[in-house]
Amino acid sequence: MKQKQESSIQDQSRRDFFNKLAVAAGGGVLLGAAGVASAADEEKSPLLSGPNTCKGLNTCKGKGAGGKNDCAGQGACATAEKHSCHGHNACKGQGGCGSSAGENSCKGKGECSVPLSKKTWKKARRAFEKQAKKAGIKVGPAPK
Amino acid sequence: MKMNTEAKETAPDLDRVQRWMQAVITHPDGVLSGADGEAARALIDAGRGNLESVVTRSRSLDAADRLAIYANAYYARLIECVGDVYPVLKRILGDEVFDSFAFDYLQTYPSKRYSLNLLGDSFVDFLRETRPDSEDEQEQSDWADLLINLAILEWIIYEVFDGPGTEKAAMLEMSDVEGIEAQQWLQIALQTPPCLKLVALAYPVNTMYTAVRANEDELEVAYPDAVVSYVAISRRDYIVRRYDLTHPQYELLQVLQAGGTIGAALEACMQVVPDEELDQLLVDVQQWFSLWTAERCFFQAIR
Repeated sequence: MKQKQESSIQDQSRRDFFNKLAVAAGGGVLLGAAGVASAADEEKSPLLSGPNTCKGLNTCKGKGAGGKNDCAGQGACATAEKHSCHGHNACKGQGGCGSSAGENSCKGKGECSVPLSKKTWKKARRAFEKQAKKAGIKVGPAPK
Repeated sequence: MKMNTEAKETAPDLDRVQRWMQAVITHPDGVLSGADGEAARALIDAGRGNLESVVTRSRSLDAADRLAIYANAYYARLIECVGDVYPVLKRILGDEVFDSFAFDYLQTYPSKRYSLNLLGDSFVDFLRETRPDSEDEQEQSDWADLLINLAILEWIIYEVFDGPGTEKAAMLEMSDVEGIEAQQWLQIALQTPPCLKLVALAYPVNTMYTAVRANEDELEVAYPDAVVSYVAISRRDYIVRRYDLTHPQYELLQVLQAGGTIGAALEACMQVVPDEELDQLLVDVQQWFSLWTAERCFFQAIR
């Protein structure tokens, strides 16, 4: 009987707590909505300069990371950029990636082996170690 | 004149030549192997020894050299596209290593769509599939995982950047929530926009991403230890925004994103909050909802 009573009290206090939490959440929504309304009035949200408003990704050259990026969300940014370079550099790739395994013509000439990925991961490990060393970070042994 | 007529009679049609050229210049082993390959020979049976029957030589270049310009350009452009999607990973690995990965990636996942926007969508899978094996379990979650986690974050950022955002959508406003009674909030669902993405990562790569982006000149990044981190990524005013989340925040937003009510979301959140921190949760929850509403994380309140 006593156990049942305690359980009922626990249930009651849990329900109370839960209701308080929901009211807090609702209060937060109202506060935020009020903030949106006043920001719209001022045309500037104070949260824009907050620590959480990180730099945007901006793959379009010439547009600052902090600025408005007109091509975001248009699904055409990268395509447009790449298409535009057709006219600028018809010979891109001719010698442009000489030391890189990205030059496909080196395959079959003994400069690159197939599969590349194992070799590349090793190179990646070396690059990673180099960066880590520069930053004073000790890196554990590489996987065999 | 006679020669021209003969050439016209025997020349393959343009469509065939275009498809042959595509097969030749996209071959991973280069133009000569491309010309010898099955795909090219099925279209025009001119192997490496007979390339000039299709492409004439110039004064300084033979047919193979002329075709190689396009072959190299093809991969150079695609590799550049992949690099645009993963700029921080590229900076950490360096151009040469990153380009090697990208070239290898393009062999496994070749470009098959008309748009280049989705070219990098399987890069994370590729890194997972090719990552070095390790017999040592400790090593399994080492540096390769760090790089893969960074790639996961970068792809999400790219998706959010390129997809639909909140700019033209009517977001949650005061008139939508005014008049909701205190006891009703548990049953309210808050609809989130499609650009809101939530991710749990094995490393705190969001911090690392910010550090690399902030330092344009010299790369000096502290590589983080493996600690589970939670990040929300969204877009407002055409700018991708990243928010580090705590575990309770992540659980809460996940339920809301799936269409659950505030009550269900709070329930999930409480599961990961220690008892001694529950009082603090009352304060925190209000701040979180206030911030998320102000940051346009909610479209509308569904009663």
